[in-house]
Amino acid sequence: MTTNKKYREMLGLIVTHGAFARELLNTVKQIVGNVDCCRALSNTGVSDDVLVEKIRNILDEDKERDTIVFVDYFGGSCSMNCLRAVKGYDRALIISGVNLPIILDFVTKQGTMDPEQVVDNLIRRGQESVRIIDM
Amino acid sequence: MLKLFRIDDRLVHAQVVLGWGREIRPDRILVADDFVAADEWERNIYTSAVPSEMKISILSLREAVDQLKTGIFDSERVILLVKGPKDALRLLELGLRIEEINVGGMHFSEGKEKILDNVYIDEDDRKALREMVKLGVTLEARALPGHERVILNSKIV
Repeated sequence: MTTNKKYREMLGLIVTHGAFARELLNTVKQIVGNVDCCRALSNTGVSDDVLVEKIRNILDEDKERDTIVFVDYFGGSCSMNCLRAVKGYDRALIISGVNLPIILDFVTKQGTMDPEQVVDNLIRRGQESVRIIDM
Repeated sequence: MLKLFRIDDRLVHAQVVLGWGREIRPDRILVADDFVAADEWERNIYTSAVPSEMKISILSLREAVDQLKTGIFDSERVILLVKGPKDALRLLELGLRIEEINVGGMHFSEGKEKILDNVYIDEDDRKALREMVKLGVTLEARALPGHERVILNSKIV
């Protein structure tokens, strides 16, 4: 039996070095079609203060949705500036080590279950997808 | 022993711990910054950013020079990081002796003039850089060890 329960929509904000975020999002679109629950930002050529401001602007624009901020490298400047940006925001959390399976999982699962479940799911998905393939 | 003295407005980040880290193999990252040293939250995020094989010290500018002078870091390979030219100059004024400073990352923000792709400066930066040139320091701009070394000394007059 299916339920008609409405789940909250979420926003994914990918923040990375170089063109990785943009191309990751483009790749996801090639696989699943149009995606309007994700945005991409780069730290390239941008000062820390400006990057923090850009992230906060997106969080402020999108007050309705809980946000997951995806960063590429724990301890890099994207993760540092995302930490600074979400300080004081209780609707946003940061996940580091973003990869293609995580974003695919996010765009297909968000809005279909509770945000907490989405988060648990995609952390597991991301970790499970890093493996030696030996059949 | 100081292996690299770098001006980088991001302080500890991937280019430093990975890009320079794999070349220099530092035992310690020494962050000299009055604001970060005084702010527990900022100290914590930089401390968490350093890989487990490196130690980190986060000190005020004065403490950094004092500790370097005592020689306690002499047996270690150290990367010293400051956010900008003014702080670098301050370390020299406080008695740090160094022949060369790496200008690694000075990102664009409003009102700054482009010197190189990774070096944007305002008038205060220019003044501090000039002072360091007067003190005989070589300013080499390079984001990563494998990049071309660009000597800034004649570009900031």
